[in-house]
Amino acid sequence: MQAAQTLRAHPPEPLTRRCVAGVEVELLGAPPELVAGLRLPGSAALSDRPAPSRISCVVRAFPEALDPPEDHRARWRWTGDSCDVAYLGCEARLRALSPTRYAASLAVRGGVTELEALLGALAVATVYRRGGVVLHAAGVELDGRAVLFVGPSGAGKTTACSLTAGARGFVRDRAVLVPDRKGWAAWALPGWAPIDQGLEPSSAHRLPVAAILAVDQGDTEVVVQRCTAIEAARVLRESTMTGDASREGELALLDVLAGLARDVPCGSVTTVLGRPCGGALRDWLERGAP
Amino acid sequence: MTSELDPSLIVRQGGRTASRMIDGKAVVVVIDAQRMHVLNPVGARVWELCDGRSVGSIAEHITREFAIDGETALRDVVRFVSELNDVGAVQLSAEPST
Repeated sequence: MQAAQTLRAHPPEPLTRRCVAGVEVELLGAPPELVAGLRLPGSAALSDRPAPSRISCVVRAFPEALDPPEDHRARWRWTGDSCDVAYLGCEARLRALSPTRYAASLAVRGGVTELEALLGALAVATVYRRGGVVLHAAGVELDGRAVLFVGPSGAGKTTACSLTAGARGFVRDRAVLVPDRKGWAAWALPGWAPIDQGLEPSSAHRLPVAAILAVDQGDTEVVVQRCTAIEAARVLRESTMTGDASREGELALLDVLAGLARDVPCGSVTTVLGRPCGGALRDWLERGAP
Repeated sequence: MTSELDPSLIVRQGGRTASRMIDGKAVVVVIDAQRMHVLNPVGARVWELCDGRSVGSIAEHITREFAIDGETALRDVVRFVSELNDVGAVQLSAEPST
């Protein structure tokens, strides 16, 4: 009897529920071998997260039916409550049922890798539906908030993280940002948790965003300064992952980035190799990010 | 090169562009090139006027609105429109569309 109660209290986690980019996905009708191979974290990982979005997906496998991918970029386009998504030769139709519930029909060409990629694209499409973005950014947790570093590959984003003494590693290279009631919240895209930053990893899944800083490398002095709204929009646009190449999608993205630049201090940090910059960042934030 | 652009050419914003005004400046994204261009207030006004009128007509507007002489305005507008054309932000044509 006690054993039965224990089993009821801790039911086995359904294999069909997974976590993708802070979104819960439920896979319906997918071939078992496809689901079994997924490396995405199970739904238990969602238990400490507030009101996650959920996508219920009907999955059909078409090993040879669809054309090979023309490019390797995820594409999505919202039209009203519907969104067409394509990635790695796979296609999906996503439909918003409510602000947090979605239904999707997936046609998967290929195997587990393609399915995981398509699920990631679906999750990212819901992020943009919610008025959020995915930035090419590395970031740290500093005093309970996220400081994100942006810039082209090789600009020194990871180095800036490692130089932020007293901080914890938060995100390696892809950050999801979504507006919420208190400002903007950030978390790492799956597979982009911090590694090799020389910092203890943050235990937080989601953090309020304190600042977004373009990284520059100097020789003498650590400098943190705010930039103009127009410069912030330019830097954010260059750092934003996009999947909607329509004019309407681009206009919507510009509006989102203008809002992000208005709500979150954006600027630049000049780092110096071997010189910690955590103190300068804290001081700048405490002074109101001038 | 840029000075050879005919002022009678009709100029329109490219269909594959998106723009917004931020702090009095225009940001113009050429979508297929994934490049963002920031235009100063005069450039933003020229961009706004790229609606199917001629390059020369745009220069006349700039002359009136910014109190500069016509020759300077025409030279600067011709150069600027050429730059916009080079980055794929505008379409030039000899005839106005119906």
